[in-house]
Amino acid sequence: MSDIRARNNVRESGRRDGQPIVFAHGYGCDQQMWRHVTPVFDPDYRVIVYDQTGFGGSDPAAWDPEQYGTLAAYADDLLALVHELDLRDVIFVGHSVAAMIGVLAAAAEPERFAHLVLVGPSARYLDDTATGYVGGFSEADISELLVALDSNHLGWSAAMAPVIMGNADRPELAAELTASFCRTDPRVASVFARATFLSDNRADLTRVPVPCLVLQCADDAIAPESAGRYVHDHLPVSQFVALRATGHCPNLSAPDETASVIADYLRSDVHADG
Amino acid sequence: MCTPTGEPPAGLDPEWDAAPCALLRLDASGRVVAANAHFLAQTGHLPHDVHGRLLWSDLLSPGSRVIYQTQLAPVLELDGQLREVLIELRTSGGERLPVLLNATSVRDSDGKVARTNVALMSIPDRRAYENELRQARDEAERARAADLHARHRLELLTQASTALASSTDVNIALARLATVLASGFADWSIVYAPAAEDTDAVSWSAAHIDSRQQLQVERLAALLPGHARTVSALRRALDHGEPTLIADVSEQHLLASTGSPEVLASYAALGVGSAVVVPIMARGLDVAAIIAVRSPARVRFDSDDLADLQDLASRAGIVIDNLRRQAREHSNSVALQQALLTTAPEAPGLQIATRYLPATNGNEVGGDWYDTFLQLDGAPVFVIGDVVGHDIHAAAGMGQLRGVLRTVGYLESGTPAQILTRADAAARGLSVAVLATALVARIETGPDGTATLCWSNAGHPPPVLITQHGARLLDAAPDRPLGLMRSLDRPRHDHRVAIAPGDTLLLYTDGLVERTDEELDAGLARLIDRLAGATDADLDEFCELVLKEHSPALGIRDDVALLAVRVDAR
Repeated sequence: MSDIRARNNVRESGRRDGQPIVFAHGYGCDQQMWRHVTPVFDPDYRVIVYDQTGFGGSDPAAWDPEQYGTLAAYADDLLALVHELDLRDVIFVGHSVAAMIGVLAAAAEPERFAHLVLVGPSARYLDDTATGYVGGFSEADISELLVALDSNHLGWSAAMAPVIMGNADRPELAAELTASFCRTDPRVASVFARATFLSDNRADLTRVPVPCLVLQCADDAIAPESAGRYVHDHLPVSQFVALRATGHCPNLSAPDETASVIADYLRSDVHADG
Repeated sequence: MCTPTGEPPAGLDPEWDAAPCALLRLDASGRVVAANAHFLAQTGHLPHDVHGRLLWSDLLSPGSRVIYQTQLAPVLELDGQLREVLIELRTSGGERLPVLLNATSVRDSDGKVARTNVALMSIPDRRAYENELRQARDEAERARAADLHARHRLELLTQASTALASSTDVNIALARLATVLASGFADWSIVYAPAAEDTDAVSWSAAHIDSRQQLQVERLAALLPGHARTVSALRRALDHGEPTLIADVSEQHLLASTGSPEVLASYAALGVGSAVVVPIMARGLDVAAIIAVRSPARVRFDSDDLADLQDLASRAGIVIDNLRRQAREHSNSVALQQALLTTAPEAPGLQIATRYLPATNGNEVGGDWYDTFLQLDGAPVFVIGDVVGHDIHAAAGMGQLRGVLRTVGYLESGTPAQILTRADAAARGLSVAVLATALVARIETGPDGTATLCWSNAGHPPPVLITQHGARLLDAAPDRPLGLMRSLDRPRHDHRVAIAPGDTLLLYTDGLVERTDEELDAGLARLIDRLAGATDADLDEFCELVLKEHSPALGIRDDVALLAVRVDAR
């Protein structure tokens, strides 16, 4: 594939010589989900954000419905990014489904990764009655979600159009950002939703020989605490931190708390190693 | 705060409950701090069921929960507002209630969201309308997909039919068929031709969509007949006329079909994902087969594809049958015709040259002829004619008519017009039912030794006379064609022109000048131009010059017959 920087809209900030920290967005939006968090890491790290293929500013031509029908394709993209930028000792921060994308990538090439930070992870969204696993969604729920996503296609562009209007409260926001944020091609959204909500990565957790941090929000309707606990319990090396933040997107609703928990974890690791 | 009586919390407008839509106020974390009466009435929730609840996790349907958290909440946080978003509320009875959501966030002095006001409008009608639109769209997409599929099939059949129909040779037809099949429908294809009638050799054509694999597929095509086991799809097609569809070709399929390591290696190199093999049934017992294969990366063949290929195979069978019959008939016609085109007799003082070019495109074999004989009194007679029709019947009719003209011309010693008139009568009396154009010419020598050309024209293109002064058409008005029964009472006419030593007379059939893209007159004009000044060439060279524009390689549409007569120079 062509230059991954252009293909996945890779943006860098922070220290060129710093340890690389890669932030990956989950289902729904794009790298802007991390905009309140990354500034905290700029002074000490080489900060890298990117858009998953099909989302945000990624090259629409690179997306293929068959290829991107499983999470493995997104993990391959992450590894391609790591290779092309020649990153080593990578700290990977993945939100929502990107947590599992990081798990798959680290299981495949653990030597490249120093830490995984999993924000609101779930190894399986569907409940599994056979094993008593609680993912938070019944099969009917997921079916309904997929239909709901499809049904929103029609209204989506029209419904979101007024959002483009200027925002007097937040003049610092570029119009470009406002115009593109969370605007996903409905076909891409539908395929990614299936890849996300029908995935089962429970068996992959034990294959990650990299220290992990699991961040769990309160009242997360997408990745309930049972799901976060499961991830923590099955990763060979992990810490579990319950955030005060509610909902599924602490990177937006509580960026300060999110950033400081991650920074503290990374600092404590340095001390532990030293 | 929302109270059980539904009274507005402090600071809210008293008209709160009277608003014509459902209203919610959320705190910074998204918990409901107030719901108006409209909301409670629509959802059936009691105030204490709502108070303190999170909008996204407790009041929305599961699908909307995910959409709200992953897509709407981020926009609301960024932009402070949402407009006309379609979501589903969960009612107290667990029902889904589709609503349009508008929301505006209010920020505190730090720029953080302090609270969010939400308006929800129930939209059962719009929902039904959108469902209809969505169904219509899905329908249209399905129709388009079906249409696309149908068009692809039609395209394949059209291309293949064109390839078959435009071929004059069985092997060319099959090679074209293989190429058409291997340019999309399949990745590679082999077409086995029926063994030729006089040999057991199987001929084949093979094609691959990737030209770099052409040799590989040809190698396989050559190997396969000798190494296919009786259970193989190819043998089943060739031996029993059975079609086979193998949607997913497995290693077991391949191993069962052949014991040849070379064939297996060839399969591995070419890639076999999915295959269709169908027999081509031509008339009689001989059978051929079409193999079409897609690589493992491609969509599998299905029963529609099998049906398409069977359709093609039956067309190919008909075409092969016709081509063979035509080839047989063509060679028969040509043989018959050549047998009738006799060598010109010796005529004192004259050189005579003849040419006959059969049409090259298969079925166009016809009734052109030329003839020369000496009458009883020694006068040389030249005949050129063209029987209407282009088949073996035309050739046979030509034979009869030629015989009639010869006989009456020889025995009766009349002028050309008399010969034609008697031939008309004889043809009618003997039921020789053919229609033909013809030109009969005789060279008459006067007592003083001067020569005169006498001719009569039965609807034939005018002869050309080439003299020292140039070439000219002898274009006296022609009489009716031979065999036209309606106007037998109309007289035929003789025409005369003096000829000198060195002059050349050219008789020809219309195949010489009539081309697909031009009129007869233009062709004649060009011929005259070409022949002016050709008196110096010897007669064979002269004939080559006449036929200059006729090369079998370029294709000859219609037969061409020529008869050239030159008066010896003194």
